[in-house]
Amino acid sequence: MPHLLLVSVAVLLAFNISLALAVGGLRLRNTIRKRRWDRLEATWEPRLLQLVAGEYTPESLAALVPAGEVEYVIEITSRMVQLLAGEDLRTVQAFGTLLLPQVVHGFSDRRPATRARTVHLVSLLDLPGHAGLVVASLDDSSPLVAMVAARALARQRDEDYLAEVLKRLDRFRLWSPGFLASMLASVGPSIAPLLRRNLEDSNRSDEVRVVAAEALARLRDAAGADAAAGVLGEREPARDLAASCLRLIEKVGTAQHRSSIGRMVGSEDYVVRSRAVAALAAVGDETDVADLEMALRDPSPWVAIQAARALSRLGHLETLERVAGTATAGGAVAREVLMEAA
Amino acid sequence: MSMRLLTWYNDFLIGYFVVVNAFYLMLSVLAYRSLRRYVRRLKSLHVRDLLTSAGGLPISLIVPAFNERATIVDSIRSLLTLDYPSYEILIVNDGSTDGTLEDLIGAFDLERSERVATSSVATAAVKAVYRSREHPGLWVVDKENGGKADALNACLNHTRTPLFCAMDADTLLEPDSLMRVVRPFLEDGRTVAAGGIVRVANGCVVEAGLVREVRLPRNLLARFQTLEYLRAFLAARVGWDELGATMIISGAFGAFRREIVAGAGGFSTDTVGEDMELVVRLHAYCRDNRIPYRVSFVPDPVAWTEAPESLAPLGRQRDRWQRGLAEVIVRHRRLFARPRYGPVATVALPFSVVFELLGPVIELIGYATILVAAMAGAISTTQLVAFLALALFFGSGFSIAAVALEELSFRRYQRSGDLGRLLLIALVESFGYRQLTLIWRLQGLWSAARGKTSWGAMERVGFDGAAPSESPAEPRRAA
Repeated sequence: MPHLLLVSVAVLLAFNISLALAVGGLRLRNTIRKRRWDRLEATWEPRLLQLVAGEYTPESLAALVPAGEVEYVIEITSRMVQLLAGEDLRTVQAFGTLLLPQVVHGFSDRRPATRARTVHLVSLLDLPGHAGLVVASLDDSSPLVAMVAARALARQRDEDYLAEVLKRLDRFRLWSPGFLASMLASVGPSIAPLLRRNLEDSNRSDEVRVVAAEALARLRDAAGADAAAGVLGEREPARDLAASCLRLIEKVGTAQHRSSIGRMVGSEDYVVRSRAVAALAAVGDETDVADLEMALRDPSPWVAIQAARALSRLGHLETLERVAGTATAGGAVAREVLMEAA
Repeated sequence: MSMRLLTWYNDFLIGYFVVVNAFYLMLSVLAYRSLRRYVRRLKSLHVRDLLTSAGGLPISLIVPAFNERATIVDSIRSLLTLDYPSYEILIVNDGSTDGTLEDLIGAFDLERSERVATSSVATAAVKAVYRSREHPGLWVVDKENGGKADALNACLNHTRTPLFCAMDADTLLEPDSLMRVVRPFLEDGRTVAAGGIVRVANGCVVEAGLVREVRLPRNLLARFQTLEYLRAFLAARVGWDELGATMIISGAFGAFRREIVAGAGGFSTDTVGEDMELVVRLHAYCRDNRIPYRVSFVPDPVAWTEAPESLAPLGRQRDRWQRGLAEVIVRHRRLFARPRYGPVATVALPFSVVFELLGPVIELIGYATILVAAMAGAISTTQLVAFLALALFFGSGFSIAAVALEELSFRRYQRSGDLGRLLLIALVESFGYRQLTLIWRLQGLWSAARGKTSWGAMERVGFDGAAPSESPAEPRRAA
């Protein structure tokens, strides 16, 4: 036992010393890397600016890149590319493209982080030239790689690429719908018909349809309101789907969509009720004032707040002032909204 | 017979140390793998890009404030400059008596307003709500004193955004901290809570509420705590997160999904460990209600906090932390070792009971038995020294591993001298500091057993090192 004890102490001491030396080694490595990086940045950033200024051609500059520095130079180039536009961007991308053959093997690296990094770099420098590989990355086993590919394709603002992403949107169902919707909407109005088809397709998952509705709302797509009204007419749409469709109608709907909101105002779910009231404020009319006044007394403050804002929007301040004078929950809501309007 | 008992206990103690440190080592290894993966991931998915794409997930910063006059205005000014697309700030003045509210009204041009509560967690009475004319997203809820958890609940009741971030009034966030702590909510819609790393601000160069340069504190106690925070956050919490067993999101900086927390009943007001209690309760609530969920620890969003630099407030803090742990474990004992509640119940809670809660008692008895055994000749001087060396090297090993993880991942301590000092602290802390924390933890256990509920006072010096105001509530710190 004593022998074992002493051996244990010796092993632990050696372990401690090794760890401490490892810390020192890491610091040394990091310092060397940082100095190397700073040196390369100081060399290549000016050269890239000279490239943009026409003092180099992409080919002549590429010839100056030492074999051991390709990855660093690609990194610096990818950062600069994100700051440029127009002809300057194309010039620097042309230079970066010449270096890409030395990194594209990363698409098949066993490490997801490396594959994701490759997709990211390639998409910044020459996505069209490697579109097949990037699209294939949408089916990568790693969710990180798939999302990096999806975002890269979305940045291209190309309908064909977006169609590929939309086909696989179920892969990203864990991601925030708002984030996915923004990503899709960034393409622009040309993507709207595709989004509407996805919203109307009851065979698609609720998550995908929610994203489609949110994206259409961001695009302010007027025809999307018809699709949303159709969804609301389905039997028992799920909470998030109903809420997203109501939000879409609130943004772009017209009086003709009012009838699709009706039964949602009486939903058991407070989220659906509050979105329905908000939509009613946008597309409703004087005949809805009574419903809105009743919604002021809804047990959910979220619904009451929307109802008060709806009344304010419809110009019924005297109704709010009347309720504001009462010592009820609705009264507090009315006072808050009147203060906002003031 | 008693000699055999002593020997048996000493053998048990060795086994206990081996198990607990093997576990910490495992956590460190898990943390290493996780941090490497995370740092690589950061290169492919830039958080600013994500947030800009998403249009920003609206979030409310909720800040409980009780007698925070020394730092509140500067803290709020720095919060107003955070780099985040869509956020509000809700401060709750929890019955301050030092003019905190008046300072806020003056500094931010507050006017009386109305803001209806959206949830109904019970709190002490709310007296008034104020809104800033200058910064429309800045609100102050003035209420009767009810304690930190009560103040957080008042904020929760008035939160309108899908997420909220609870923080301490004197916490300093980095400009992109909010962005980074929200990231898990974007990447996984099941996320209900996410916490970032809390670091010790003492010794750092702070200007206009921002940490401009990271330095190790001059004060020895604060240095020890710096290392402790590295162990606790970079090694332990990252490791626990890998196991899916995150048991605590720090009250100094944690983001939550409002609807879930309100549904679970808000923060508990009858415990001093309200941050840990909430997270453990969220695990139970989500599993009981079959809500798919995730609790995340994210290593890159940073919140800087002031660590106590003298023994009395540090002792009170550690007493409180141990009390909080005991209260949470007792309160949630029904989860203990039950597989339906996941790794928190089957791994984290049992570990906490055996090694965190009972650890101080076992350790204290161990010191006694080893000394008695040595005096009685049951163990030789060599064996005694070897026992103590084992304890020293076990502890320092884990600390050095934490420093290695820091150097591997975020490298905030740029000065090599500071790195060297951290390594030295890893060795030195076993000669007095660990024993002090042992005493405080034992005091905490005793306080918990007696049902003590108070927080104790913290001496604030402010981040510019200026002395606190002269008032009975805030005694001047000794030079």
